[in-house]
Amino acid sequence: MPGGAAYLDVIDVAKWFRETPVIEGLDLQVRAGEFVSLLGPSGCGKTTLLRIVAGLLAADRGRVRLDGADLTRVPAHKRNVGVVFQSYALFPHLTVADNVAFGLKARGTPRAEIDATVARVLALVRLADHGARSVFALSGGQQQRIAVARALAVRPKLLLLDEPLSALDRKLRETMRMELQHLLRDLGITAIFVTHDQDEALVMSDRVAVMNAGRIEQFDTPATVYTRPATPFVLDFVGMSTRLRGTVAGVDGNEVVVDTAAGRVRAPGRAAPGAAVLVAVRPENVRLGAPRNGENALELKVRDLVFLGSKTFLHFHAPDGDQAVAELPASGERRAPGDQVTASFDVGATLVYPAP
Amino acid sequence: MMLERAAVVAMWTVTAAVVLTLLAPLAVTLAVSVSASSVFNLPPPALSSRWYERMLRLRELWPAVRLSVGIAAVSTVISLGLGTLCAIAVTRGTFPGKTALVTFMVSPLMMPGLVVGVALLQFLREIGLRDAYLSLLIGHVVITLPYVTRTVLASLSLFDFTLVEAARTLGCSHPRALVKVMVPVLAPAFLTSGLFAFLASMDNYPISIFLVDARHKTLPILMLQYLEENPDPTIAAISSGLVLMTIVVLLIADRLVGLRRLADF
Amino acid sequence: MSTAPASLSARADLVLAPPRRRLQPVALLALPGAGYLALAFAAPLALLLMASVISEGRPTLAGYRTFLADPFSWTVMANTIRSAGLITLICLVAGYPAAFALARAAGLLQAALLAALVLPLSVGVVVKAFAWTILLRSDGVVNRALVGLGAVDAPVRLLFTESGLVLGAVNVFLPFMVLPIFSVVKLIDPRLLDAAATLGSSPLHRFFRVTLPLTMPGVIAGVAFVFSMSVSMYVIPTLLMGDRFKTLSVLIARSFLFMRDRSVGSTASVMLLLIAVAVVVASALLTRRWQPSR
Repeated sequence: MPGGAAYLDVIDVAKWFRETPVIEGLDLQVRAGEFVSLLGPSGCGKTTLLRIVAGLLAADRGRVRLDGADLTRVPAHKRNVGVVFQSYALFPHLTVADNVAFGLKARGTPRAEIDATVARVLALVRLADHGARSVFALSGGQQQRIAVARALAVRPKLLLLDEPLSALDRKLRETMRMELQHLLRDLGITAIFVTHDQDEALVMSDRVAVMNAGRIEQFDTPATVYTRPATPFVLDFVGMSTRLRGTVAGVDGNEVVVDTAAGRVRAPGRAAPGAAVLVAVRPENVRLGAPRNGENALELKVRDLVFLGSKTFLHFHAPDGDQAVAELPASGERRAPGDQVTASFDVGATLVYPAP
Repeated sequence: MMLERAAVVAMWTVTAAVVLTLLAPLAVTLAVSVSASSVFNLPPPALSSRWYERMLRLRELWPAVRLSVGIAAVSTVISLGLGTLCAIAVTRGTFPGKTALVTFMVSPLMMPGLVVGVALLQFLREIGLRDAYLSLLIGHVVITLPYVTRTVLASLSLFDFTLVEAARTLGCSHPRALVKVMVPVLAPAFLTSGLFAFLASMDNYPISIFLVDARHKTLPILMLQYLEENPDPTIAAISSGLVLMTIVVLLIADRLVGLRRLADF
Repeated sequence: MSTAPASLSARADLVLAPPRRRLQPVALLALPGAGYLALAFAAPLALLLMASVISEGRPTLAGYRTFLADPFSWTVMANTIRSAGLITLICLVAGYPAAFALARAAGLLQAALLAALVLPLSVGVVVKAFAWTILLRSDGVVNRALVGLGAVDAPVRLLFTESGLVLGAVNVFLPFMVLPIFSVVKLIDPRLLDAAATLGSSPLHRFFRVTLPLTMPGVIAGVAFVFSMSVSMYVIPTLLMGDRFKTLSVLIARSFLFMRDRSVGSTASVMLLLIAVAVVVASALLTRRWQPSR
């Protein structure tokens, strides 16, 4: 992973819209060359944060530093922060080539250099002979690539992408994800990618910042965010999981013992006896069958089967507000709704949180 | 930053000047209409309602008002029909020459009224039509049609027709879906273009002057005649009446669709 | 076919797509309107044109020769075009910023501005022109303001001058410049300006390279409307200038309404018509060049 001190430093940024806080005291540090995702549901403030970093919106509090310079009061057109908008925002009155050249022309770059750069950048996104076309003649995927090309043509210090793939169909989205990732890596561009699609965030990023209601709940590598979600929100937002309420029956060294409606489980962590908690475990860690070697076990009844090609998910009956899911490999035994099973999983893979 | 500030200040200053100059004749008209003096002095030496009283007693005025309003109303309604059909055809159909068609439909606005009036008079005489009312109506539909076509077309081109399809899947027949879904969306366009068309018709002189006869005089023609013969503030009173009517219409329009939607011209 | 995002597909210019093979029934809906104008508008004008080149049953350009040989005709045409050009220019310079102000204004202010634009249309050109004669008098409001502001030392003669005419006409035609431009300014996607800023475009650069080009269709429409209306105006010059300033319209009206001789009127009518048609064609061509299209 690319190292170095904070290249982008967002310090204690806050923003209100008419008395309602949209972002509260948010800190974010991104390293040079890193690809970071801002992941969260609609309305969590991720686009607002993006606009503040881009200079399109002024924060009510806090500072933004990029590559050592304080950008807080600098207007957007002087920041050299590139943005790829969700709607692409391609200039309808300009051709593809003129769109890509726009930023270069705005800086007074000499003609020859503009032409060379435009040609190079268009080749990078594999649209080299589309220069003379009108933007209306392009498909959605092509427009997206031109939007990226346009932003990259001026060599931004930081590239912000606001859900750029959301308008594309699934296959195209997956292709574009890889392309984008490779492109940005090859160019060494630091990028922040806003999305509500967790798959995208996990696949593409060096680190993921999971946002909720104006705060970053966890900022870590995709693996850590997935296996060790810091809060119940992150647990729910990223991936599926079994989630059961319970009460702490006791503490045993570094583990807590929790009573749930489906059985008693142990999990690493600390909590006071009698405290209300949430226990969770990822579906791929759940095995059907009797527990071995001190594993946790829950007695569950199958409710639904969800077939996804390479695997099947078993959803179990659970009390209101709780859920229980297990993942069955393709080679696994067949199960049917109504089956009574024992679900076993490693104590080490069990997560526990204070009940919200 | 300074330049941007200066530009914004300049923009609002110019706008203020524009508003002032637009409202000036209105203010003058209103002031003159309540002036006690028959000479057009401003500010009025004393206030009086005598011109309004005079207006009510003017014998030829009311037939002219009735004629103008009647022609304006009927021609506006006809234009709303013809223009909307045309706008639907342009938006939904695919055929060559659409741009040319739209240009043609809007062009009467840009043609010299006197010339159109003369041409129409000669044409109608050729085909033997001498009835002034019908002639006026024919001429005024020509005047009002461009306003409707242009405004309704602008509105329809932004209209999402999948809404109509949604209505059909929910049980409406095609015509009923069109009416239920399109009409509320088109209402502002109808109102705007209807208002502009009506005012354009009420105000028209160049075409009307050729198509009127002794017994059928429209309001602008009567007013110009009056102005030339015995200029006194009675015409200001008449105009103030029209302004009042328009204010009422604008208030109703604002209640119904909001004034903002009215400006799609 | 393109799978452009929804916002790009809801545009007027996309409506005018290349034609397909079959004529759909919906296209026939255009017939009543177009047919009506063909009969009541195009046909009479065509006949007028034809009649002007026929004299005593034979084609002739004699009327035109006489007209164009007379220096007075050229004065009249120059008057017409010059005043129309001046009026259009002033309307553009004043109306363009006003359209932006209208778009920026919100709520009550915007409604008030709109009312200020639409209400004067109801006064009627006769009374409006007449109100301007009152305003333009030596002791009228305009002169008093000019003297008061120190712009002039003594009241300026405005009535029956071309300046007064231009002022009065600008007043009448301003809404027809502001509204078409406003309707286009409203539609400009603010994200385009955001995008331009993030690419390094300063506010001034943004205005000239993004905003201005995008407003051109509205500007062309406004200029076309105001110029053609100015070239054709009759009531305003009659009331504000009387007989001193001859424009083509005044000439036409005198010829047909007050004089026996119609030939001058016919020729002048055709000249005026040609000017108007030229404006329509020019604006259609310019719009096509400036309208973003496939």
